[in-house]
Amino acid sequence: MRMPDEHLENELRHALRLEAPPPGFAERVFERVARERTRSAERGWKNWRRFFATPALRWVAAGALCLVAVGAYEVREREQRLAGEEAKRKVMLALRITSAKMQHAENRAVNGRDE
Amino acid sequence: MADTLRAEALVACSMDFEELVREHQAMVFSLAYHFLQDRATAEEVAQDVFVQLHSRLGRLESPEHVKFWLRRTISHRSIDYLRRRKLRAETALEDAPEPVTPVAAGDPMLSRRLRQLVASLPERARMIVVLRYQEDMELAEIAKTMAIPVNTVRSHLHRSLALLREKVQRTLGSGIVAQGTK
Repeated sequence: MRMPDEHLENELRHALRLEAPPPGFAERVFERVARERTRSAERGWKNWRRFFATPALRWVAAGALCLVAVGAYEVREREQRLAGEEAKRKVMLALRITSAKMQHAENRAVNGRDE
Repeated sequence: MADTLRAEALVACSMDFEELVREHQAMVFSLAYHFLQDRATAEEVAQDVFVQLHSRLGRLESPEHVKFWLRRTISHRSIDYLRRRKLRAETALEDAPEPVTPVAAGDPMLSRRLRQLVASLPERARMIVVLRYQEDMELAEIAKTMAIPVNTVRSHLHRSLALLREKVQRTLGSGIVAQGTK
């Protein structure tokens, strides 16, 4: 006699019913999650340290730092030079105006005396 | 509007990790246990899945999505674990020892025997049977979870049931058949 499908399926449902996990399962999951978080934070810091611990990378980092310092110095020098040139231009303009005015005054004085 | 709902769901999900673990621990553990047939290994694999869930919570959109993700991940992880450790089928279906005394329907011995027989199925067929009868999932849901065609699920299930029926009838005698047909 053939075993009915429905009966076999019911027996399978019974055999494969939900099993309770071992006691403390959830707590162990939370502990693992907490450990993983700490570990990943430590890993991030260690990776940075390891990155700079490589001799070649140290030289690269030092070189990059020098480039930044030289660049900053150059920028500052250029700004100062430009500021100086601007001041010089203003002084020259002021001198030219003063000179022109003095010339004008002198002409008026001479011409007036002549009149 | 949809964005707001999604954002709310994400916040709710990330806030309720503990609740999610408590709600789904039996489902995840049982799927692994019925597939692997070892409590310690099942706990290890189930814990891995929950740790992974914690890091992916922000990407899961709803409680249904979480449940789907958990079922899919525990299925794949259990199969991968077995393949990696080569623990598969300590006893092949045909080689499984037969009990000496006949058992009746609903008997704990019948359940144990059925679990042994399920454990001796090939990996994919075994997971399909576990998802079908532990979780009462439809074939289409199983197909989506395992990322395989529905027809493959149907044929695996059909073959597995035929094998299990034959083996159960052969090993447990006519008592079970008589009770089952009442």
